[in-house]
Amino acid sequence: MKVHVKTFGSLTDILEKEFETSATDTADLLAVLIAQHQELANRNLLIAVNNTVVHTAVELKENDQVALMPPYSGG
Amino acid sequence: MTQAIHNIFIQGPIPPGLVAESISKHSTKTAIGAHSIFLGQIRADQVDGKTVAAIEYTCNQDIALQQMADIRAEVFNKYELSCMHVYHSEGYIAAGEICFFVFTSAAHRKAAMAACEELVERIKKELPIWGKEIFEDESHQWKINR
Repeated sequence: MKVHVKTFGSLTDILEKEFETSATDTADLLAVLIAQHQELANRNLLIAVNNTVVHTAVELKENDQVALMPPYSGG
Repeated sequence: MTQAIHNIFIQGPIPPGLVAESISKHSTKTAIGAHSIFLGQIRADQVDGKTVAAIEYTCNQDIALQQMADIRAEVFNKYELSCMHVYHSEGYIAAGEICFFVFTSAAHRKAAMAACEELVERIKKELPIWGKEIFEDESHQWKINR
């Protein structure tokens, strides 16, 4: 499935801020990105699909919006 | 979720005048007996001999505003509050400037103070906002909340 990915915080030093890619689920998406960018391995990341944070692997549908977010540091 | 979405984000630093204006706007609400205010200021941290000159804040606004609406509803349910106002900066905020403003009002001080503290802690922990600490030589590191 083609999905739209947005990255935030420190991830923007490693990945484009927005890109499209193909993945069947969120675990697959992460595995592909980690294979391309070793520095992503062992990072504590939060994933949101269509603006809802997910804590387990979620199946991706065509044109889903995926946000990859490192730990928050506002305030 | 059905809570109203309010935009809390301000481009650039929070002007000190906004704090004064916010206080003054509540003078007609005479059931209020206590305000509690938290102001976050950019600290010029020293890291390996370099000084933080500014923090550049970015956020995932859609998720942040939904999360803020949920927090707002929960804190209103938990405490006897009259009012709650929250502002957070986006963009480049220089050391010494204000980046975060939480303002709670209640009939009595304990509710205002406890709600204000809870809001500050929850916003720092639960809102998808990121701070990029920019040093005087323009190198950077990503802020980590303690």
